[in-house]
Amino acid sequence: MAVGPTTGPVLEVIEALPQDLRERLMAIPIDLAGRLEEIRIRADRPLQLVLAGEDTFLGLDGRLTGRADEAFRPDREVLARTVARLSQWSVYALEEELRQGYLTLRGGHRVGLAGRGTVEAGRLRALKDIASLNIRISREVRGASQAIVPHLLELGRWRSALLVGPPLSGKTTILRDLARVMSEGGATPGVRGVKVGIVDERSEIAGSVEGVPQRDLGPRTDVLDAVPKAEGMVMLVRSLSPEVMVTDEIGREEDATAVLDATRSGVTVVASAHGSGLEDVARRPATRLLFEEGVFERVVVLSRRLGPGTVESVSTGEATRGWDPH
Amino acid sequence: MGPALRLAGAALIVLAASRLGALVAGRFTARRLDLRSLIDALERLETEVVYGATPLPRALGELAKSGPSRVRDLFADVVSRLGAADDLPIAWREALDAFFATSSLAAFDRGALRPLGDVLGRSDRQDQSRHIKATAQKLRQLEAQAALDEDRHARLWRSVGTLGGLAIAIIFL
Repeated sequence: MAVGPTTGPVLEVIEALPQDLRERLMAIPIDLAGRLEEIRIRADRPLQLVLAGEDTFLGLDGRLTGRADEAFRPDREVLARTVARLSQWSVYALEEELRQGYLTLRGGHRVGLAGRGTVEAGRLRALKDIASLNIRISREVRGASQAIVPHLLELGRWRSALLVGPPLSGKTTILRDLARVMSEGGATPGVRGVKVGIVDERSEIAGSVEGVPQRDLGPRTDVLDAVPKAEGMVMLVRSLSPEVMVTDEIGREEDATAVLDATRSGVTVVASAHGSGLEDVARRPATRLLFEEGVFERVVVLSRRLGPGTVESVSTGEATRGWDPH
Repeated sequence: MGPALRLAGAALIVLAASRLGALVAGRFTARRLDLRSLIDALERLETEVVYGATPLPRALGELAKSGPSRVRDLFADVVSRLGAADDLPIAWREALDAFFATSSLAAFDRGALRPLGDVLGRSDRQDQSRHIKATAQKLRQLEAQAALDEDRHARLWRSVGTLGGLAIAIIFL
């Protein structure tokens, strides 16, 4: 059996880790490594791997095991070194990231952080003493949006849509592919390519490095990288005249206001939100406002029941307009 | 042997001896200048880290390109070793060792710089600033010591060289 994950995104992530971890992870058989979705590193706890939705530990002998007592346990020092290396020995440059609790690696892979918070004037200033890392491997899946494209197109025009789903249900992957399809044109015969603007606050959609997208997002796409969502949406509409605007994880009320403003100025908005279903998001203030205003003409609910990107339902705007969950 | 030849030989001995003395004396001056350059470089590094939030490899690269000329090689070496070793503490230690092997700096000068590699880039700005400042402060003390040594020994060694050369020449004459 071939040893070592030589596939692109997994290798990209493993190469960002310090040498000792890298060597351990390189020993995972290639067919398993190809299915890696998450690497979870916790101080003095078993190193956990999530492969195609199933979780397992990395054994001391390099094999995957279900038993925590046989697992390799990285200590605090390994974690500190990992954070140092992931930040290119520039932890001091991560102030915003340490406040938000995540950072993005080259290639758009997201690293979630947990540790001890330092608080200033009642607000979180930064995370210190990082004790948990969750590295999510981001993959570009061409054709990931195929199933929902027909639902978003009506009379040759793209409709504003919200993708709803729990973590790891493929929201960002689908958004990314959707941006490419819309930008390229020809989704169905006669549909022209449109100008797409992406607000990529966490660099997850485009995986930009120094501002240049590393993912294929089509020929008519502009990306505002690492710009706060609400601010970015306003900037985009004002200065880049997109026909479609793509952004992920609408959560705060200022995000919702910005989406509302954009659609009112005639821009189609395709966004995503965390949630297990329609009722879930309809209850949250930000998305509720957008539903009440009838911003989204389509709401797509995703899950990973049959693997990431399973489309559970597609509702039209009428179903969400004036939604009252109570 | 003709007297002219003897004189020429004597002059050669004096010249060589005073050159030797100057060489030893020069090491004291070089050490002081090296320490000054390191302090200047650390001050620039601190500015980059604290005010610029410049990623460390880039900040070190800047020092390698346009830092104090006496220590540029050190930082260039750290950057290139960082690319290969992938670990800052290792790259820092190895680059320091290589640099000190060829410079006029003393072993305890290296001792003052070494611990910085273990903490550089691993904490927030305040903490980084504290570590870099403390290291620069230690180097400043060494610099003051180096200046005293230079005052005391450099002149002495120059004189020893020339006078020693004269003495030998006189004996041979």
